[in-house]
Amino acid sequence: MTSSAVIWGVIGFLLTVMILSYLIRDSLFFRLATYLLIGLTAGYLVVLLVNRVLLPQLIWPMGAASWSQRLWLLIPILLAGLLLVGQIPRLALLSKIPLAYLAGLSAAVAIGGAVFGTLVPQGQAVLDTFDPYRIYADPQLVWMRILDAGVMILGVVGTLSYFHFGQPLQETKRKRAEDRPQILQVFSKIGEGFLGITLGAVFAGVFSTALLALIDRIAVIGGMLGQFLGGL
Amino acid sequence: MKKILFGAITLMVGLVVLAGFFFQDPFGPALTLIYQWGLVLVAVGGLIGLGTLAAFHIRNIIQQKKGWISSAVLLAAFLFSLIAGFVLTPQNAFYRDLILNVQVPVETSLLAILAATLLYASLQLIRTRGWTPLSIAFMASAVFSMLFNLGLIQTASGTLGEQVLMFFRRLPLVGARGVLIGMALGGLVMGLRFLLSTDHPGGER
Repeated sequence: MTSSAVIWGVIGFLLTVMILSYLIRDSLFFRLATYLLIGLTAGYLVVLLVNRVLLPQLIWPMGAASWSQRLWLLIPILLAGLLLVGQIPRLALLSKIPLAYLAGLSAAVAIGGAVFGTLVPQGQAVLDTFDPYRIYADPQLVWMRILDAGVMILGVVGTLSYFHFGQPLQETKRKRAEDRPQILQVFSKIGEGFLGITLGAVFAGVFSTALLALIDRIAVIGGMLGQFLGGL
Repeated sequence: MKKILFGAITLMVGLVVLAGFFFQDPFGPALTLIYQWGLVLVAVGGLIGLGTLAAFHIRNIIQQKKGWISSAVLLAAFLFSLIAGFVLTPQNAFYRDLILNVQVPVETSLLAILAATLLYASLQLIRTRGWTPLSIAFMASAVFSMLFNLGLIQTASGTLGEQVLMFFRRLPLVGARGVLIGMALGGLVMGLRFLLSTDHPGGER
């Protein structure tokens, strides 16, 4: 093992012990290790933002570009300048212009992502379960495919109903205004069950991963201690 | 007047980007430019955020507030990483080792702590919410998913049991689709509200 590998190994071992000390109590060691991570990552982020975005997108093209291209580059420089100047409280209004630009961009990207990235493919996946070719593909499993389709539509409608918190526009016969229509209440109870199943499966996945990480860290500590004790 | 100006900028940028989804050929060059400018603004916003973080911890150290030692460690790590990054460049082997050999053990250990925290939180769910359809389904699904993942429940291939097993393995997808569709609908409505200036992300009224 090279000397640099030993040094990095010792640093990793110490950091692991410092973080795992949280299992006993929230100690200074735990905070020091997390603050060290935040500090290093923040510095790394600044280096990446400057080296990978600002220099290649703004500064380097300025030197090589023609005059008309430089004029185009002035727009992001101006917007970035307004964002920076807006940090001065008296000039805060100026930062609203680049923020409005970013709001428009992110809203449009969110709409596009929601429609083309989620609504269409997920809706298509729900509809696909009702595809007759799929249902009758295997004659022995028709009932299973029909059950699949029924559960899919019931689960999706139920889950959506669980998150429905709309208010009636007109007065209704319901005792309390916050009560949902009865049909929604029934579906939301079904949806609650499906939501629990999904969250349980997600929980199991995350828990397994976290458990593997715990085993890995214990193995690192054991390996490091073994090396030290073996070397004595 | 100010409200109209900010609303007009938001709407104009949003409409061009949305038009680009449908008419990629005519709007392609404009879209590239808009994305590049947006990327620059996000980067500058990130730098402002990180600058604010550093300023906060400098104030903590100067005023010797509670936890100023942690702030000093953060600031020292920040400056070391910053200077080393600019002097050595991010591609340098030592710099990459420095970042990875701190990031990997700390992040993996944090994930390891999550195992204990998750276990505690799941038991708390039952204690605080009681046996509701959500908590029953949650616990049953978590236990069965772990048994499935461990490969403890298996059936012979091509049997009815296999189909039933597959059906139960697909069940979490149903709720996930509902959640995803709900999130997409929420994102769509929020996006439209931003674009039409019904909501003001900049805080202006």
